[in-house]
Amino acid sequence: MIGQGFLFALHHMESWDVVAGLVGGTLAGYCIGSIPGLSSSIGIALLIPFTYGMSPITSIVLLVTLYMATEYAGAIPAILMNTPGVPAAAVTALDGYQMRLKGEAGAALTMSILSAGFASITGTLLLIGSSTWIASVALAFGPVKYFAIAVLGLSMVSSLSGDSMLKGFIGLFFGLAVALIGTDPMDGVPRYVFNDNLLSGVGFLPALIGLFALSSVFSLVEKSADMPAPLKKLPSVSGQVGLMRPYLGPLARSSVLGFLVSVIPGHGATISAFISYGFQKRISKRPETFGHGNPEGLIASEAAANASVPGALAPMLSLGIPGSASTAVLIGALTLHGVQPGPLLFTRNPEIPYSIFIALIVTMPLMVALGLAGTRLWVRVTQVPRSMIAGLVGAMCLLGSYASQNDLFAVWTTIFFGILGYVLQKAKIHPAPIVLALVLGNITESNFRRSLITSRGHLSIFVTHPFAVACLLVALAVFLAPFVRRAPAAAPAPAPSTH
Amino acid sequence: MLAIGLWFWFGAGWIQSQSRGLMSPIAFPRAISAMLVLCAVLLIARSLARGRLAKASALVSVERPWFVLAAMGMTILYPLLMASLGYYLATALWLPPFLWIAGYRRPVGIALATAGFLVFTRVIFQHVLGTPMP
Amino acid sequence: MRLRTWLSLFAAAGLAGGLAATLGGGVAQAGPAYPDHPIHYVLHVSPGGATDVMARKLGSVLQKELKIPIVIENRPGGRGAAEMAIITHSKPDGYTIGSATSTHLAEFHQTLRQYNIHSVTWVARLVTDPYLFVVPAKSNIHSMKDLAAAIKADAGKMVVAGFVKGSGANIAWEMFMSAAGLPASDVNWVPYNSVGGGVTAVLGGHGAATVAYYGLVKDQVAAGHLRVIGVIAPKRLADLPNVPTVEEQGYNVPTFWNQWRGIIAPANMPPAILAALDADIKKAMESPDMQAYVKNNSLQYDYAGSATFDTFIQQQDKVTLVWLKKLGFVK
Repeated sequence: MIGQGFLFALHHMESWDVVAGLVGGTLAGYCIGSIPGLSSSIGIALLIPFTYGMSPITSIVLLVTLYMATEYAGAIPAILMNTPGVPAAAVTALDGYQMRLKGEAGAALTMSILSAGFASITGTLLLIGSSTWIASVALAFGPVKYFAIAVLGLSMVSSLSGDSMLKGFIGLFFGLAVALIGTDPMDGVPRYVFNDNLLSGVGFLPALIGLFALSSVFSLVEKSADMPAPLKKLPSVSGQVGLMRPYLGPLARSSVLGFLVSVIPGHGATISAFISYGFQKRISKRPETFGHGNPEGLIASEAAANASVPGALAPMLSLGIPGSASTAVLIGALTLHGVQPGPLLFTRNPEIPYSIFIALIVTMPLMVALGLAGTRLWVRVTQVPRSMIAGLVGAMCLLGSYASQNDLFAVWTTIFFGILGYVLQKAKIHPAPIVLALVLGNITESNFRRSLITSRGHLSIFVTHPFAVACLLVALAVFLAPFVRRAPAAAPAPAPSTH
Repeated sequence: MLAIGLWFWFGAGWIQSQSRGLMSPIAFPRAISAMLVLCAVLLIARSLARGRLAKASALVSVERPWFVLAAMGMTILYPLLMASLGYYLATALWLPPFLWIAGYRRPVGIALATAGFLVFTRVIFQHVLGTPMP
Repeated sequence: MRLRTWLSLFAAAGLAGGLAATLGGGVAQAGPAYPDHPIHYVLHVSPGGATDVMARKLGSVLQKELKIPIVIENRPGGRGAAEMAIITHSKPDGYTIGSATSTHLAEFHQTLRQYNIHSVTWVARLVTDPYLFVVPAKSNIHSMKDLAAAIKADAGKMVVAGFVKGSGANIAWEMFMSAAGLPASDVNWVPYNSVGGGVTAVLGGHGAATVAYYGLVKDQVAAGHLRVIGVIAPKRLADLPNVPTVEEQGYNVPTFWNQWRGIIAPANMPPAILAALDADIKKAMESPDMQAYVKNNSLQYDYAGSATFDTFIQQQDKVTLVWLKKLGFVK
C-alpha cells in the first residue's frame, strides 16, 4: 500500500520542475531562515504567489522543502551571532553561541546541521509509519491536557535559569505578564492595551529579535575593542561527521521527543526545542555545563526543532488540522491548488502526501551537503571585526522586525526589548525564560480557563484525567527539584561566569 | 542592583494596572503579577543579605557606557528617520554613524558595508518578497 | 518556464510598487484613465490565512485584467487597527483599497470605537460563508429540533465548543437559542481561538456541537466524522442539498447573518472611481480562475456592488450592535 503510494507519487514527480522546486526551496529556505524576523510561516506565505502557475506537486514540494530548510537555517545566525533566525533557534543559541565564543563555531555548525538532518529523517519515517493514528491521538487532547502539557513546558524554566533559579522565575513571570497584553483570548476584552497596536498583543518575533539579537548588538558595541574571536580548525568532512559519535543517544531521544510534542496541534518547533532542551539537561551527566557551550544542549534543541516539521505535518495530512503556524499556511497553499488536506486526502489525492514524504527525504542530503560545505564559509563571519557585525546585525534586526509585520510599531517593540534584554543581561537574567513564557503564556491561560468553563468552575476537572495529572505532577517535581537539591548543599559555589 | 529596582517598579506597575481593569478575565493576570512581585522582593532580600558579603561582585559594570548609550539612542532614532525619510535614505544616513559608534573606523569599509546592505535588502525584501518599505 | 514568467512579473510589481512609494503617490489625480498606476491592496491579516490567500489570488487576477500591478500589503497590527489607520489616512482615489470581513463591524463597537461604518467606503462584497450547526456523526442529534430538545433535557450541561464570545459564530448560536426560547445559560459555550479550533474540539469529543463554515467541515462530513444539522441562509446550500435551513426547521433567525469578505476604500470616494473599481472587481471575480477558487474553497459566491453592499452593511451593523448589547459586550 505504502509502496504503491510512493511509486505513484514518484511517477508524478519525474519532472525537472519538481527538481527545481526542491533545489529552489532549499536555497530560499536557507536565505529566509537566516534573516531574523522572517520565520518559516512568513516565508511560505510570501512564496505562495510564486506557485500560482505551478502544478500542485511542484508547489507543495517547493513549500515543504522551504519549511524544512528555514527551520534549520535559523540556527546559523543563532550560533554565529546570537541572533536566532527563527524562534526555535533561540534555544539553539543558548549553547551554540557559547561554543562559538570558545572558538568552536565550526563544530557547532556541523553538529547543528547533522542533528537537523538526522532528526528530519527520523521524524519523516515516524510520520510515514504513524501519521494516521498518531494524529487521532493528538485529537484526544482537550483543554485539560493542553493546560497540563503547557505547565510541563513552563516548568522547563528550571533548566534555563543559569546561575539563579529566582532570576529564572522573574524572567518567566515577566514573560507571562507580557503575554497577557492584548485582546483577551476568551472574551475579547482588551487587557493592558495602552496603544491600538497592542490589541493583537506584543509581537512575538519583534520581542524575540530584541531580547536576543539587538541586546547582543549592544554587548558587541560595549566590547568592540576586544580581539576577534579565536577559531579552531575544522576537521575534514569525514571528521565532521565523527564529531557526532559521542552524542548519538541525545540525538535519537530529542528527535523522537520533538516529533511527539509537535504532533499536538499548536505545539510547533519552539515548544519542542524548549522541552527537549530541558529534558536533556535533566538527564545529562553534566547539567551544569548547559548554557556554557555544551554540545548536548545544541543537539537537543536542533534535533527537536527539525523533527517537529514532520511532526506538525501529521495532523495536517491526516485530519486537515494545522500542527503549527507554518502548516496552517501550507493548508492555505494547498486549497489554492484545489487540494483539500483532511481525512480524504490519502484517497483523493494520494500523490500529495507521498510527494511530501519523498520531498522531505530527498531534501535532507541536499540540505546537509549544503550545510557542511557552507560551514567552512559561514565560520568566516567570526573573523569579521565585531564592530562591523554589530552594525550590520543591528540594522538587520530592525529591518527584519519591520518586515515581520510591515509596521514601524514592531520596530519599537524590538528596540524596547533590545534595551531591556541588555539591562537584564547585566543583571544576569537570561532572556530564555522570557521567551518560553511568551510562547506558552497564551496556551496556558486559555486552556486553564477553558477547562474551568467546561467544568463550570470546578477545579476538580484537573484531577480527572490520568495523563493530565501525570503531567502536572512531573511539572511540580521539575519546578521543585532545584530547591530540593540545593538545600543539602547549603552554600552553592559561586557560579562560574564565562564572560 | 539597578535591575532589581527596575523589577520592583515593574511589579508595582502591573498591580496598579490590573486593579484598574475590573473585568472578568483578571484572575490570571492577578496571579502572575503577585508572583512577579514576590520574586522581586525575594531577589532584593537575597541580594541585600549577600550584598554585605560581596559588594563588588554585585555591582554592574559597563565598559564603554557612552558608546552603548549612543547606540541605544541611535536605534531609537532609526524608526523616526524611517518614518520621515523612507527606508533607503534613512538607512544610508543611519548605518555609517552606527558602525562608527560600534567601533569600526575605516571609511571605505563603512561605505562598502552600507552600500552592500542597501543592495542586499533591496533585492531580498522588495524584489523577491514584495515587502512594502516605508 | 512558467516560474520565470511569474518571477519577472513579481519583480516588476515590486519595482513599480517601490517607485510609486518613492513618488509618495503625488500624482493621485485620477483622470479618465483610472487606474494608471499600481493599486495598493491593504490586508488586516498576516500572510497565509484564508482571507490573505484569497486576496492575493484576487490581486493576481485583477493585475492580469487591468495590466496594472496590484501591491498586496499585509498590515496585521492591532486587529485591524493598522489597516484602518492606513485606509482612513489615504486619499479616496482608488489606489488604496483594503480587505474587510464581518469582524470589522464588531471591532467598531468594541475595540476600535474611533471608527464606524461611515469611516470607509464599502466597495464590494465578494463571498459569504454561511454559519452551519455541526455535531459529531455519532451524536443522536439529527436536526435543530433534536438539538433544542437535547439542550432542554440537559440544561446547563451541554458543552458547545466555538469561536470566542461575541464572534459572528457565537451570535449565530445565540440567535438560534433565542428563537428556540431557550435561555443562553442553558448551554456551556467554551470559547476557542478560531472557528477551526471549535471544529477540532468537537472532532476530539471535547464538545457536543459547534458553529462552523462549510470549508472547515466539508471533508470531515464526507469522511463520516461530523454531521451538519442546519444552516443559517435564505435557502439551502447547493453543496448541502439535504441540510435544511434553520428557518425551515421552524426557528426564526435573520437569514442574512453570515461571515462575509469584502473590499473597503477610504471614505468619500468619487462615484466615477467607485463605479470603475466595482466593475473591475466584479469582472475579476467572475473570471473562471476566481470562480474555480471560490468553488474549491467551498465559499458562496455572493457578489454585491457598492450600493447593495452598503445597505447590507447597515443591516449587519444594526444586528451586530443589538446582539453585542444582548451579550453584554457593549453597554
